[in-house]
Amino acid sequence: MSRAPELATINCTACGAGLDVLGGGRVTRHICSYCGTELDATDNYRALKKFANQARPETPFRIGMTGTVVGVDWTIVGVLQHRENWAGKTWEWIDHQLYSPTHGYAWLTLEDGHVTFARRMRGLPHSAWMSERWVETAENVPTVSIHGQRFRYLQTSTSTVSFAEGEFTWSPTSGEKTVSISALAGDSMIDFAETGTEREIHQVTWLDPAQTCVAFGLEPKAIRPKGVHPAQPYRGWKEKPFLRNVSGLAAVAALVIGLVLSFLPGTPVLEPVTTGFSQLPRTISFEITDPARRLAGIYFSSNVSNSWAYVEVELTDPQDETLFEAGRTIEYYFGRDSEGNWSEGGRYASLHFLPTVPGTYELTLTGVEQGVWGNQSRNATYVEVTAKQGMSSGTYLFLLALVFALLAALLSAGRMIHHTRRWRHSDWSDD
Amino acid sequence: MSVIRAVFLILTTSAIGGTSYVAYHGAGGESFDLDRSVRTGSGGVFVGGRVK
Repeated sequence: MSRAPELATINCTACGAGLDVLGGGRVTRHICSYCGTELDATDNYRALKKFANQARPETPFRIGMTGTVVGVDWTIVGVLQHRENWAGKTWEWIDHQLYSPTHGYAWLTLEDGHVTFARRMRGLPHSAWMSERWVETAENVPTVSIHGQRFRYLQTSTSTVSFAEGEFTWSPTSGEKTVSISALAGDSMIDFAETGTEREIHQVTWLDPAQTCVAFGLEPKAIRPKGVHPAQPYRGWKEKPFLRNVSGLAAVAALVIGLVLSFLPGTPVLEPVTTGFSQLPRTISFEITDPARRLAGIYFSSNVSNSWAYVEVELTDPQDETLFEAGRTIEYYFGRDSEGNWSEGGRYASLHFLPTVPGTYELTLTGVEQGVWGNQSRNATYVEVTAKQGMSSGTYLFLLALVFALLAALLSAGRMIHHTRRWRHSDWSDD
Repeated sequence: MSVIRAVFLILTTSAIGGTSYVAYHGAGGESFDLDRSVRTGSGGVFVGGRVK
């Protein structure tokens, strides 16, 4: 038996209050907003029972409001409040039953200031179901494939209806448990809901709160969302992806150019000159011919063996001005222990400088200090010097690559943080 | 292309180009522990030859 389609209003058969009839032909129950009596819409609104309503939930959406959601005009025909108690905490959310003469029934859910739109999915295979038992016994996170998307388990909620008013296509029962399992795939969310023997799968879409309020004739800030909803898509600055990609490419480019420049060999300007420590001090000349005055290097080697030698040098430029003084320690140690042979240090040292002008540079080896360590040690007896010009450096490009990489990471952080906050709702534990 | 994208591309290419230019000439590759004469940097005149 179905209700007479021409009905627009009725009087509650329990309290006599006038009630609008908005919910279409599939409505079977009408719960009086005034006295809470559940009326049988299929049997002349016969009073069935009194719904044990608790306090009216706080929601700006009222029965009779109309609004356009996902391109369809909907009317709010019923309000349900769900309550979940777990581990001493209480969660509450409000389902608003929507009705469209052309699209049937849907839900507008308000929780923590977030609004979601849920529609029942039909025609899915039997395998497209995530059961509470599966979730409780699974060793790995349960996943279900629906329409080519793999939905990953998010959370389970076991709730009871604590308030009901308006029209419904079923009979809400106070205290009856509904187990709802949520799963996510990208920005899509699915709810697998089970009440008694009834199973339903809903596709859940997060709605912009301000736009939804305006759609139903409310102030844009009538609701204020808290935190991030699991179904909430990331809405970053529209230029972020472009800037992030360019920054990433720039980081790679700077790194590659830096590596290429680091490996440019330069041109020898001083063939190896060997000087015995007994011959110090000694001055060695070399010619810088590169007019671009690019980086030059001076390289030292010595026959240190379980010993060290510190060589002091002074470099003068073509105007006979001292360019710098410096010292280099060459040290090399080796031995054998319980783990095998080992060595430390090296027989080479170097320094790099930027020539001021092309011309003849004079390197003076001014003095040496040295010492030995352990067995098989030997004082070094000479130092060999070579020099190169026309070299490049990758240092600043490596720093630039780091800056661009950090910028790319920073521009990616918003999406990653949002993703983390969505999944923070998950109650899955590998234990 | 938006102004922001164009400006960011110009800044990025300028940064890479400019840094590559100075890096090609060896900037950033100097040894940090060279005890330099202040004459090299100032070009000033000092009594007694070497300043150090």
